Amino acid sequence: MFSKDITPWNPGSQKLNDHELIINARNGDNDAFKELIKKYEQQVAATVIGMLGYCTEAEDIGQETFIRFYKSLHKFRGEAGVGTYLTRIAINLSLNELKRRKRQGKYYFTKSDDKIEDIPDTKGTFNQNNIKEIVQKAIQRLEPKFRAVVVLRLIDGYSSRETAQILNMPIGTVLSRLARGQMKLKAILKPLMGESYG
Amino acid sequence: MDKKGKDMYKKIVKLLYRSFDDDLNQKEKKQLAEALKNSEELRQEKEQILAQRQVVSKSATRSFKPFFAERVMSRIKTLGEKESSVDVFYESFKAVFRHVAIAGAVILLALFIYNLGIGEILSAEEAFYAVDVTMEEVLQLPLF
Repeated sequence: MFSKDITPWNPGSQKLNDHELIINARNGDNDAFKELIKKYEQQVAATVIGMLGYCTEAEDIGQETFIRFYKSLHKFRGEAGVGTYLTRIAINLSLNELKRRKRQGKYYFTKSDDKIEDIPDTKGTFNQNNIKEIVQKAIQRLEPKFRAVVVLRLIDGYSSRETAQILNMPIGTVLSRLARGQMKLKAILKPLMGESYG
Repeated sequence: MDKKGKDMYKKIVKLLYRSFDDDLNQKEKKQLAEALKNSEELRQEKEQILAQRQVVSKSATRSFKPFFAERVMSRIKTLGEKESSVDVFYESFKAVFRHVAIAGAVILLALFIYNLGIGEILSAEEAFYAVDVTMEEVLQLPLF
């Protein structure tokens, strides 16, 4: 689909689509690649920050996602959309980062991680910002296998089938992890959000 | 609620969660609709799941710090420079080594021809002075 014999972009034309941007980037046009970064930054950020939280590693993983994509531009055939391709890289790098953290003893996941110790107690003093912060921290409390499906399905908005393809697992596994992930999330959030939440 | 009732409720809750992410078959849809109609608790559960899904969806942070694209491009540029400096080193090493290799081959060939020229030597080891000799013997050998 993205073979090299396709005619490069004509500068007189309007805004470029992904296909044209990739062809141009392959031909050494850095502005075209920068355009792709700007276009997909939000999507990659949502995935990586959803998986790792808002931290320096998240920015590094975000950068690494685009660098890997840049290095594999010549291999990209367009079977999946650019967004899906980038999400796959981002989620794999994030899962690797979580494994690395686990090896180093940081954020070790056990059943007791469903506790909410470092989430600020904000009962009765909610606003949009602290709800966002609480929910983000609660997601960080989920085990990576649940977190990945919750992020892809509920934050990135992929369908269950797409989530299964990105994670390379059966759809049944995705569905059961989604249900369990949401139940765990509810258990983590309930004491913080009080009766209004359920 | 007895044990059987609890198990049934759990099963229906699972079905409820699945209904948000998968297409239920007709039988399952009917079962869920019936259960929702008859249970206030289940209706509340459905509302809570919906609310939670919305809150999670809205909680996403969808950008890195400003000038993210510029930082990535800068790293790509640095990467390219690093790779090209490795290439330059490799190319110069190859160029220098090529001369050394050619000179070595010429010396070996000259040595071989010379030894053949002075006669009596038949094996390759002897032609290249690669025979098993002691250091004293080597030192006593006339080179040319």
